[in-house]
Amino acid sequence: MCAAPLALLAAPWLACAADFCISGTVVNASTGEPLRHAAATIPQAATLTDAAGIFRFCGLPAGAYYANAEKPGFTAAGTQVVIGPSRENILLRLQPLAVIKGKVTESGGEPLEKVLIQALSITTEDGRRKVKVESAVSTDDRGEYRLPGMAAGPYLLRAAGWQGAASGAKSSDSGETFAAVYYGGATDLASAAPLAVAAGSQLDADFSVTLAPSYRIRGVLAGFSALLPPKIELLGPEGDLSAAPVAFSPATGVFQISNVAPGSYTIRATESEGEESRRGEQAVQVGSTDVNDVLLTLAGTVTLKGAVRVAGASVSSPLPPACSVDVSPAGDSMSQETAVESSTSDDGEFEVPSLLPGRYRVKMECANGYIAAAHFGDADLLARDELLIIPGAPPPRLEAVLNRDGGTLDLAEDTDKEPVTAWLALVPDSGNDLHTRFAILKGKLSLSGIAPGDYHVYAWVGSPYEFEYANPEAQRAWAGRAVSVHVAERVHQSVSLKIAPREPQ
Amino acid sequence: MLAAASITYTISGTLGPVLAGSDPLGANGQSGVLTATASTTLTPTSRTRTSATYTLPAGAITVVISGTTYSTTGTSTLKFVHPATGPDTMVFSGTVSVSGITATVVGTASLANGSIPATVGRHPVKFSPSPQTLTAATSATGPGSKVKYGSGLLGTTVLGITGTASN
Repeated sequence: MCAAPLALLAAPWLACAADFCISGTVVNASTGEPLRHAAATIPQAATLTDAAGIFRFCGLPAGAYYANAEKPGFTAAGTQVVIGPSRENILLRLQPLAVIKGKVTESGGEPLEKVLIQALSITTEDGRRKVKVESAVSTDDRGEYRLPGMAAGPYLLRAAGWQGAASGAKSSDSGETFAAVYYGGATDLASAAPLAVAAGSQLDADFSVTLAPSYRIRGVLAGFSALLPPKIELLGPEGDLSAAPVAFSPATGVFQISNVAPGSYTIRATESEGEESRRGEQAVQVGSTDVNDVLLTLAGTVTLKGAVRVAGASVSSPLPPACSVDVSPAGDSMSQETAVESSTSDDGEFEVPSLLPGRYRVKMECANGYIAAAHFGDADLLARDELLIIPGAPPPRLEAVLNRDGGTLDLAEDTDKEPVTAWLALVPDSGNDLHTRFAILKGKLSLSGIAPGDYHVYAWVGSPYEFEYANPEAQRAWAGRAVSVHVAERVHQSVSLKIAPREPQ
Repeated sequence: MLAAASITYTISGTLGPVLAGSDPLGANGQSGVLTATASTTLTPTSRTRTSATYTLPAGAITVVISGTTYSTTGTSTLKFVHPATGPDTMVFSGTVSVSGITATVVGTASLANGSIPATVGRHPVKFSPSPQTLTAATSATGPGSKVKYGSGLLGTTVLGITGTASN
């Protein structure tokens, strides 16, 4: 018996006819020219396109397939294809990749070798700006760099610092360095302006940096295993990894970080074996002298335990609290660590495993209810949704209360046209992140279990990552688009939304 | 180019109730179908005496929610667990693009014990009987069939799924 593809479960007489084909052409999206020797795949097979950019797969049962194509120097492209009959006209358009290049000089015009240049993509996570290092390279002996293979889009470009000693052009063993700087001159992520990179383009982006004396940080790492070399990193205030070189002696545990510019840092040591990790962190302020005698102690992971209890008039409801509990690193907009997920069980208990020492944000979302109280030891998570995991100490329990007597909003787009798919953020004026809601709006949407209070409702089309709704500055910039609404306990109300900019879909 | 023999595994039914999270995509109550297509020549990327995990290429897992189709944009995994006691499970896991958001989707089908043969440790094989009824989980952490989706922007939502599993 052949596989019965999903799309044809309702038409079984077609499902076993394994004689259909998928064929098409792969082209350069910018020029329309066919691409020879592009790799075309469906999950069951792969082939290369011919001189006319054509690919062909035959002998397939009817059903839904995903056809994908890729070629070095281009972004991959794919599409869903339903066959039965055959499809002969698939067009896969690959965007040519761009190049960012430039030169780094110090203020006197001398080129700088071994400067770390990073291209950062921009997104938002939970309404906050989050960036990711997409590509990184060091300048050569002429102070030049080249970042090939960049997909079209906005990027932040950053000269992150000097990497180790070098010869030839001016290098980092000169006792001088510079603080990380973004292209355009900004020194922090919030004020850095993105660079628009078009498909297939070549962009020149030069940096001129001002050198200043550099300093050393010395200290001792305690609790490390002699068998596992620990990773010691210097992180900037945005969680960015410094380019400053680190030396470590496994015999003594002594470490030294060189070429450090004045500023605020966190030194992080991590030791990993399989899925087991241990970590130590220490905040350090570098002024106009070397910093000595820093003590870092490694500590293992802990499990955060807690519970969500039901309160309010609906307390007699037999339904258990259905809550997700996501714990993610706090404050580090450049951190690449992901959230640890957990969910409540029937009795409302939950466990978040494998948390290393550090500061975390907690996000709790429940079906048909809101978090009315949440405490982590003495910390009130409604006032500030952050928790601190202290090395070597079992964390206190996270105790939360779920209230199902929240208000309900029926939200609908106010338009006489075809409704658009839009993104919606319901942001409490209190700034309480645990009561913020994000959802997709397809013409209309009903949100229930909303905490009583005053809110601003934002709705927009386009990228879901466009609006940093947890950022007060972004809220002010979008104030003209917002609708104010007051939510009362157990009150059902309708809200009409004008969505702008409204673009045809 | 002729395609190698493959098996298409399907979980289909109605999504709900919400077992965890706020369901920002409004999937509760909608129809849902997850399919995973695996070549019978694949070998597991990891295995134990009672489980086998296969890595699948982009597009091998398809998620259809309320008539809209989403395909995995990168590699995905298909895990079979066949314990001595308790339900066998088949777990689809991949990353899809949902209206511009990159989200992780995990579908878990709870099958009758003994449905998945031990030979699944060598290559993908069919489970039997097929089709069989799926009963929705009653909690996010408990047994039963469920679908989880999430991202940094969406948070995490777990829904039960009631329907059928087939191959």
